Amino acid sequence: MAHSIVPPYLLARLAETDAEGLQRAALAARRSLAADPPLRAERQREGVFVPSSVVLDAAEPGMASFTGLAGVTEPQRTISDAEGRERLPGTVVRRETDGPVDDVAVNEAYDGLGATHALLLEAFGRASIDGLGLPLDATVHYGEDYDNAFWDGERMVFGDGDGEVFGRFTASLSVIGHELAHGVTQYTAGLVYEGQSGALNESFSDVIGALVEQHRLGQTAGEAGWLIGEGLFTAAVEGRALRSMIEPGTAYDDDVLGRDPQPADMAGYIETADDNGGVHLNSGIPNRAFALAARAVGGFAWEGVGAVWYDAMTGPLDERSDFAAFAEATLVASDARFGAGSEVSSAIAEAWRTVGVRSDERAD
Amino acid sequence: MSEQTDDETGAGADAGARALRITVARSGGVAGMSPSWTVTAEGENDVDGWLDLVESCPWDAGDAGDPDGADRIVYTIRVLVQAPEVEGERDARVPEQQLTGPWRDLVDRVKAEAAPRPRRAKR
Repeated sequence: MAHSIVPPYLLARLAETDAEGLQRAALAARRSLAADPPLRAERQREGVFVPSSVVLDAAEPGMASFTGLAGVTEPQRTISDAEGRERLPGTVVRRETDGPVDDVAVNEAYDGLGATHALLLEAFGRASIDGLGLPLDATVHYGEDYDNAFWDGERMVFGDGDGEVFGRFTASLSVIGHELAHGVTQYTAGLVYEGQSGALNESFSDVIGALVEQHRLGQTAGEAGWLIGEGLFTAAVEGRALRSMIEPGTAYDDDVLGRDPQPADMAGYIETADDNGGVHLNSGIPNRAFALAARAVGGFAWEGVGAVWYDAMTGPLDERSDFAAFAEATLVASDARFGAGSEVSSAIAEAWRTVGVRSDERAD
Repeated sequence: MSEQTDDETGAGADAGARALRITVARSGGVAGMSPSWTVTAEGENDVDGWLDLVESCPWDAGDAGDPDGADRIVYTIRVLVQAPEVEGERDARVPEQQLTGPWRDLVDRVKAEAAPRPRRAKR
């Protein structure tokens, strides 16, 4: 499988073409030219002007293959240490090509970013967060007893946990992948972080987080546990992880934390003003749709349903898409990649029905 | 003096008394959990001690809006006061980036003084 980055003049040419066999490439090129987000502005990197561009998946029928911009496919990681303060970026403690240091959180962040970069590149042909080799910056040891990890729009930030409920957040590869994927969403669909579009934003981060772990371990969809944040809780907590994609609402049941509140289908959809409209709660619904479809198809999830989800996120998706709109986008993407009536398309359609997002057969 | 409660106000039970309740609720964050902490105070010294801190917070600064990025934490702070010289109820929504100065002091003190819920022995 060959993947590449396309310079803008070729994008413009592709966008104008209607030649049979190039229509999908033309569509992708027009999407990229029309939807250039602010943070995908032209960058100066190492003194070389790097224009905005797009990654084309040459594995798809009718998609063009290009090579170019040597070097941007290698990760460029920089890990900083906040030393217990809530101030970013902190002090640089490990750069790309540096060897491991005497700090497990630093090494976990470095390795986790590398694993996520590898998934994006090897499975989807995407060079880093922006498709252009954007440097991967992370900060560890953020704050004191800080029970969180987040994406601040430019970098991934990890706390060490309070030691009572949570340990350090770099201990979970799926959480590292989750945070990096927020960057991918920012540079692609730009799903607004509120309500159903926000829950889809969260869900895509969980999807990438789960796929990073599976890709690293060589796990099939049937072998995977579909847990997000496994290993973050201390031994005192009654729980396996932050979330279960295959069984939302079952990840923990603890005296102090309460029970995992995620709904497994639309009947349990939670209306709330907190958490940007319950983005970390209702994400359980599309999470389950993904995991069910991936298990039904079998094999490596990033090759089937994962590729479809990535296509949908990088396709013509409105930034305020609701679950139904995203479900439709996945079905369009699946038909385009695997064919209408394919096993993958059927599994995805069935999964969306199971979680209550779609109730009828799609009109073709 | 303080305790973690879900429903009890501890404030306003006696019309002539000075009493106060502060609830801090956290939402957002990658874990998607929403813990809350509540303290109650009764009696002049206790209430005044909290009121000094409450009054130092910028309640009229307005909602700062949602921060950039994802998985950020937001605090919701609610104060119920029964005292002649101050209004009875105040609310604020404070993203963690704005949780500095007196906001930070207030939230940290509420979290520190709210008694933790006991954890039963593992099953």
